[in-house]
Amino acid sequence: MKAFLAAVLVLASYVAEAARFPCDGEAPRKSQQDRLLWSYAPLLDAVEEQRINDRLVAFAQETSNQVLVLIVDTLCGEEPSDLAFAIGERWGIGHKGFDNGIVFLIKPTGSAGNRKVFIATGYGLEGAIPDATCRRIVDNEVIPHFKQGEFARGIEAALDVIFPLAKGEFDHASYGRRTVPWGAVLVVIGIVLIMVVSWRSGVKRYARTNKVDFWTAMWLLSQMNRGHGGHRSGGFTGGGFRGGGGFGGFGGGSFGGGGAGGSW
Amino acid sequence: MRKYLGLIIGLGIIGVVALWLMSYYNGTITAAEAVEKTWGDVLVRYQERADKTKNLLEIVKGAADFEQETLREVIEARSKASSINLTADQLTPENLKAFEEAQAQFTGALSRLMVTVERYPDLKAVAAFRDFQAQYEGMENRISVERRKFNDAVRLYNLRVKRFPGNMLAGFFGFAEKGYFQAAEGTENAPDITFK
Repeated sequence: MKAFLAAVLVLASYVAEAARFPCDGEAPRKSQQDRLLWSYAPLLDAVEEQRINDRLVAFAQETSNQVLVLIVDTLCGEEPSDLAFAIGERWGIGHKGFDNGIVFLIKPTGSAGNRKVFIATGYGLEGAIPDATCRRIVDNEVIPHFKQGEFARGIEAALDVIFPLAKGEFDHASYGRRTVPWGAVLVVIGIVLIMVVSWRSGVKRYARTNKVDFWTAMWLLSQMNRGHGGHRSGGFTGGGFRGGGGFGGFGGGSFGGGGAGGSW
Repeated sequence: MRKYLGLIIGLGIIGVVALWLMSYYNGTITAAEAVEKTWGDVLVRYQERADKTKNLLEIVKGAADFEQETLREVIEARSKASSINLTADQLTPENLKAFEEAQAQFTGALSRLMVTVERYPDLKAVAAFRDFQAQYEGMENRISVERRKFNDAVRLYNLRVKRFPGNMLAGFFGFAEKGYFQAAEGTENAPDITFK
């Protein structure tokens, strides 16, 4: 029994340790950048976490603006503002060149008055959501709810204000238009060209060996493919360059010190 | 063939060394350009503060009974900070230290002024002052962010200049060590900076 208890304690401390916010400043690995709510302190239940994360991811997919909600158990000895800027910069919230990211930092641990919240805006959103607006969001939407212990409602009330403002600055249409991935386009064109050339030489070889002309050979080959291949492809599948499922990971956005915070 | 073996090896070594020199030189130039760019951003933010403070001082001067000592300190610190102009190629550790000290004095004087104003309700009620107050925290935040980015850029540059074997070439190419910002400005007890 004693051994069992000890094992549970060790395990519990291990789990608690694993959940602590790492102050190393390293961004999560690309393969783990599949969510925009990162929680290192017990503040929300699983249902609330899921709901808020879904809203954040849907908003990122829809408008390209990335809002990160980060709940930490330590400020790493920094001011909340400095931690929020550093995380935004290091993790690269928002897209490179647009800097349309927001870091919504919440440190719910500690005594009354030492529980902090800070909303940091990327360079690109400083105009749409000025510092004074961040302050109002914190004072009017976040803190009153947080004081009542309604954390999910406080966060969502803030998102209700932030989303329309951010969307007014960057929507998906303007984002997509200005960032055509020319490298990827060139690669695709190259592959198609190679395929066409090799297919053409295949037809020519077939025409030579079977002593028929080029067009007959092409027709015969296409019949053969249909015979044993069934449907070879269903045309281009959707999805484009943004990938399915998630929002494509953090985008390398940059932060210059915009935003405001408060405490409760 | 044998006769030319030494020559070929010699040419090969010279080629490799030349390539290495080239990549060292270009890489360091790129790092220096990053320092230059971030230095520009730092100056923009400091300039912004100096400009906006000018308006603040006009407002405070208008309030007849304001503590003259506090006001005088800010005016002096501001003009001293504005008088030190460093271009990107003057960023030696000594120059930067002088620059930082002047700016820190200004930061301190300004924050004292902002605290003192709390005792002057009439002044606090002026709309232009409230505007300044709303921007004040963001101004200081933006300065600290750009200082951090500048320090990051200098760290990368200095690594190339001071670390072996680059340090042997730095003098030859005229790459000199650049200075960092030292203190976390405005905070008396500097916290552990984990995010280097």
